[in-house]
Amino acid sequence: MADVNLAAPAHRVTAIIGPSGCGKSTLLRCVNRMHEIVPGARVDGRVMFGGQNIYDPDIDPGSVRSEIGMVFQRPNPFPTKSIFENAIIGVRLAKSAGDRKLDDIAESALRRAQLWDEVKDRLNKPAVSLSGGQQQRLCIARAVAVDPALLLMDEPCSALDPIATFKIEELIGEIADQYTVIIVTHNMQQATRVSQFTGFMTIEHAGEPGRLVEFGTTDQIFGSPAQPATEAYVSGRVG
Amino acid sequence: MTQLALGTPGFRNRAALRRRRAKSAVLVGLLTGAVVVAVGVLAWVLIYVAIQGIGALNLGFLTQTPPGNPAAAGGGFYNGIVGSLIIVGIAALMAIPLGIGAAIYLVEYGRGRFSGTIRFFNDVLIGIPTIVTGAFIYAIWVTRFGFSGFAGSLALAIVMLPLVTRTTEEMLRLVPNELREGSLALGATRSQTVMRVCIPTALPGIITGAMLAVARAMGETAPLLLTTLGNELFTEYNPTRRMSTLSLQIFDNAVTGFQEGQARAWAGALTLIAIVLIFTFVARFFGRRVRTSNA
Repeated sequence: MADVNLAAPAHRVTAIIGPSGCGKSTLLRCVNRMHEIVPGARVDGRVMFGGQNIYDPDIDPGSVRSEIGMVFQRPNPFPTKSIFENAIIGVRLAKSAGDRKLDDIAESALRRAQLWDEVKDRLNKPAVSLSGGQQQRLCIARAVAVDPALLLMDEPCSALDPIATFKIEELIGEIADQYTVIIVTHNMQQATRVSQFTGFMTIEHAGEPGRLVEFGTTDQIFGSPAQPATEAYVSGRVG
Repeated sequence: MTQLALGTPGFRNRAALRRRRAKSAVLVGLLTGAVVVAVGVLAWVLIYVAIQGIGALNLGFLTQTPPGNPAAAGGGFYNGIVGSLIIVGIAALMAIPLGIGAAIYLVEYGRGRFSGTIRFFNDVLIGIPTIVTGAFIYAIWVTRFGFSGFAGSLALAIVMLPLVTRTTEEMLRLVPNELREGSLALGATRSQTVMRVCIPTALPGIITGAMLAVARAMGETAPLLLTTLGNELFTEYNPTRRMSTLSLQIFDNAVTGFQEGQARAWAGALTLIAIVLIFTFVARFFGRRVRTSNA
């Protein structure tokens, strides 16, 4: 991946689209320093967040990750923990549970993830007893429970059926006024449905670094793309 | 679109189908036979030991020491039961935490050649005959401090350590990486991730592995002959002195040639199996409780 410059506007949903292997997920994982846990990975450049470069050597990657939440491709609730514990584990890890009660945090997080009504009577059941879509919403609840300023979503619906996908898209729309969201997707319809801004990434040939081709409002990227490569991709002629 | 010429589909004819079914039946038969033999031998051992041992197994056997004359009937292996529990207990206290720690290092932290080398030596250690381990402890410990229960614990700890390391390592490797990422992405440190996510997820397997190592140590006899020597006369609770163990008493009584001694040996074998089974059940039950209450 090289030459990626983009600014994700606050309280908006920014989508990153592009063909498989172009580095969308890698870009996302650079934003919360998850990329560096992969052996052999390397990052140059800066990621500015709230006026600070998160790659500043004085900054603890753990604190970056607790400010910037992440939802993964496949639902990954902690299987040994209950629904309730999954929802609040981030708060427990940060040891900042003093000011508000954990019950309230769990309820509000699960409400924001639109899961509360489905699980309120069985909060102590194991998280793996939920369906795939519910598990993914639980993972979203887990991420929003610590009130991150930015939420990264790496193809959050690619392992889900259309109805579960619809629910997640709906909830992305709901939480976007509180959080800034960056979502990676290879589903272009999804990008048009949930995002206000879109970046298009691609690789010209296998083995070359992925590049950001174009960034703009979602309407502009899909309606009147400036770059021919973008146009070819969004119109379905390539990829 | 042009129509593709498919020709006659290559479905199997009746003869080929019969051949295939016959092959399948032979293979399933072989595999079933393998299972029957494997489980059958195990059941045979258990039932045989139970039948032979149940006659001499009574309350006295569990509470008395052996008679002075091996040809006499009665008496028990109380001193051996005590010795086994103490010696294996100390060995487990040394080997299980160390082995789990080593496995955590290998899976969660270790990279590159160093951990590869450790893993290799661990595999070599699993294969070392236990009599060699006993001889080693004899040379470095017993020659200086004499025979003792603790020397036996040292030898058994060396037997158990690579087993615990290996099984824990394999269980931790089964923890999906997505869970580690999920935890790290919440801002957890690596150690929090290990303690709160990886270990609880792998716990049932880790406990089973530790119990297998305990069971193995319970039955070891050769390294104990060279380290704790045995003590037929009285019950010793002090691990710095010579102790008896169940395995040593089974050996001693079985080779006496007297029927009464052999009866005690069978009862001892049954006791040994029972202790190992009880430990395994208790540990599993406990592990499941920890896993869910930690939820």
